[in-house]
Amino acid sequence: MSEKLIDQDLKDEEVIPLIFVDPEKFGILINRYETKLRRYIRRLGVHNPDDQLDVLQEIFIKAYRNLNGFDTDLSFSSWIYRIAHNESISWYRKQKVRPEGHLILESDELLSFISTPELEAEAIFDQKITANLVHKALLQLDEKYKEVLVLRFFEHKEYDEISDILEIPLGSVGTLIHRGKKLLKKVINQSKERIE
Amino acid sequence: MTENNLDNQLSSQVLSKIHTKSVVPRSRWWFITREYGLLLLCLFAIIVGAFAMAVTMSVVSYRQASFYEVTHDSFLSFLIDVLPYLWIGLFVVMIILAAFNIKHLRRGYRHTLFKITIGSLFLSFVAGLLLHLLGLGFGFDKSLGVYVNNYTSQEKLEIQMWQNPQAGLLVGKLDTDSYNQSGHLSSGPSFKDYWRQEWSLVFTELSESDKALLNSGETVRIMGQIVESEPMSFLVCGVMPWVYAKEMPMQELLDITRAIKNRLAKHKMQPQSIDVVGCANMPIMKKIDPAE
Repeated sequence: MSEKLIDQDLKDEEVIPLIFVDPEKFGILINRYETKLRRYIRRLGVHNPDDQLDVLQEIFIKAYRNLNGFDTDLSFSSWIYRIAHNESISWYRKQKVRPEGHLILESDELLSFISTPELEAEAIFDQKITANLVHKALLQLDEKYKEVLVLRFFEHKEYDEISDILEIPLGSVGTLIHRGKKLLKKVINQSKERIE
Repeated sequence: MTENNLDNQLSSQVLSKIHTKSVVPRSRWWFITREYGLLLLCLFAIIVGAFAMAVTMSVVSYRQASFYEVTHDSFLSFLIDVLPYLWIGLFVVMIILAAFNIKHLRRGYRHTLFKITIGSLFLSFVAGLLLHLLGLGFGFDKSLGVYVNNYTSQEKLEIQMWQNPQAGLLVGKLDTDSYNQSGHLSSGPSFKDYWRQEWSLVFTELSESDKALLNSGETVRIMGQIVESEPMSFLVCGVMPWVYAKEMPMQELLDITRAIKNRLAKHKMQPQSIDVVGCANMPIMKKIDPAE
């Protein structure tokens, strides 16, 4: 029991060296990231629970196989999110389907997402901006915008983390988020007009 | 099933799979080798790009001192013929390869493709300039021409342009047996051209400086016209050094080109009957402007 408590106190980067001595310790990282990654890959388009299990297994096995390649300049979180992102893309390329993410929009996430300068404060009071509307609008965006918006507003990642996860320059992250929000606003407004 | 049970289930499944499939972490050396391999490829691309740039620079700089009027109708047609397209193409390919390799380094994604490409271009350009200033571009192209049969070096290209007896142009050197005991050219000296044909030279209209250059025994370019086909004799009106015998400073090349133009223009000022074989009627004379 006490060993379990000690393990829980360890940072991700401190667990990694222990795994080379005792592979069972890898379970600590799996347990820590399973829920987050499951939610993330669902947002990226892996809906079916069985598929999620398969993809998650692939993610963790790939992470295990490449542990010696973990760049200590990155956070472990960014590194494993990167693997999750790449595995999800591989998965739906194999399925040959266009990814349709399922965005679990909790009310606070929705509020933090829409209360940005580009979408303006009026949106907070606009009852027509529903989770469903935002979800549908996001689906209409190009993958490159959707990926950064999901990571920023639903996974709450910082710009440098997004840069490391998607392997794109930091400047590009800012540009994509900025453009993505503008496009999203445009799509939402068009959808609102149709409803009205 | 509770979420906690699901978590444990996944953890158990993954660890079980790792065990049953004997999955092991890749060795650190695999990653180090990959990273350094990419770096080496990148370096290789930049170095090859630098050589390509050096050869291109030496070609362009030498061409400024070329007597293109003799071999081509215009500077444009001359440029189209002599530009080193292979090297220019290779330079572009190497820049792309270098940029690709840098982008795939561990932290390469942090830089934009534009920045990486400009950086690679700059490095190759600077390294190429250094190689060119050291004369390595010139030497590299020449050596490739000697050792690689199918490679058309600038020297081979120059030979194709200048070894043209019908146009009154020959490349070769004087046979040393042509000198008499006092070291002067004896009459009818034998000139061996690039095709190993032997010409008896007529140099009655040749300037003393040109005679001296011919006398040096080095490979030269001669301008004039065929006098007779059997036996083969050639009227020499002008002599220029063969720049590929040794590398020359640019100013010296420019001076030589200017001087030969002046000497040939002087022949033009002495009109001769069209039926007479003389320097004023040589084939290239139509392309020569009076002395500047």
